[in-house]
Amino acid sequence: MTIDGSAYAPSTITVRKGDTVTWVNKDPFPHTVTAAGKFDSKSIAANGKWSYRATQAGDFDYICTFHPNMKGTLVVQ
Amino acid sequence: MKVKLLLAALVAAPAVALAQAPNDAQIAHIVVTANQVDIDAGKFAQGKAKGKEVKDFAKQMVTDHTAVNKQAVALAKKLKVKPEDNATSQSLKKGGQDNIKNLKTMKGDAFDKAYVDQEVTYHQAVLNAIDNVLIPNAKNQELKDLIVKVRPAIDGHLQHAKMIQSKLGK
Repeated sequence: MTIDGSAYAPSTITVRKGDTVTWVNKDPFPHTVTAAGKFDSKSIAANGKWSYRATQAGDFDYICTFHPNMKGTLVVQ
Repeated sequence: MKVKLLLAALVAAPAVALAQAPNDAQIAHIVVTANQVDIDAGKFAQGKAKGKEVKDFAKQMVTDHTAVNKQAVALAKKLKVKPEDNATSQSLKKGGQDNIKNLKTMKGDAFDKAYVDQEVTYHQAVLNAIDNVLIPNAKNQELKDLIVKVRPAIDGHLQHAKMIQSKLGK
């Protein structure tokens, strides 16, 4: 997964339970990957990355708390 | 307050419409100035803000706009474009100075609210400038691409500021 131009790409990703997903921030400023109450990367620095192991099945909508117009969905099957 | 904000937005709008068709050197100057104005406001606000969320937002503005400016300056250098001062840059700068002057008269909750209100108005005005002046007039593709790529972050700042604004209004 990449974060570039203040957007998550792809905006929706489907993984299997137990998989690990990594977001790489290619922007020159920080972003977050935050699904309230489910997971929260906190600040991912410029050129930094954050990994999350999907242990719970379901559809999780997430945003960047710094730029709340950024939206993505993680589907865990 | 809504009326005041609307007025502020109307006042800000003609300022960016002044430059009918800025050239790339002027556009580069406007980009750098627009970022610098918000960096200055953020630096001032992060020291004076009362609420943590407002303080964090101010810090984020300094971080984000500093990073964008680094890119803009590097690109101008690469393209051998010397940023050229112009009426739009001057009005942005003047607006920023007036905003800080206004903030200096306030403290506590009133300060937080005034800063966040200004940030909402400012980012809306910058978005308007990006859409109506900067992107349509940028000739160099790399310069245009930079502005297009930064636009969602500016919109993000606007949404973020609006979110804080609605919490402060309660």
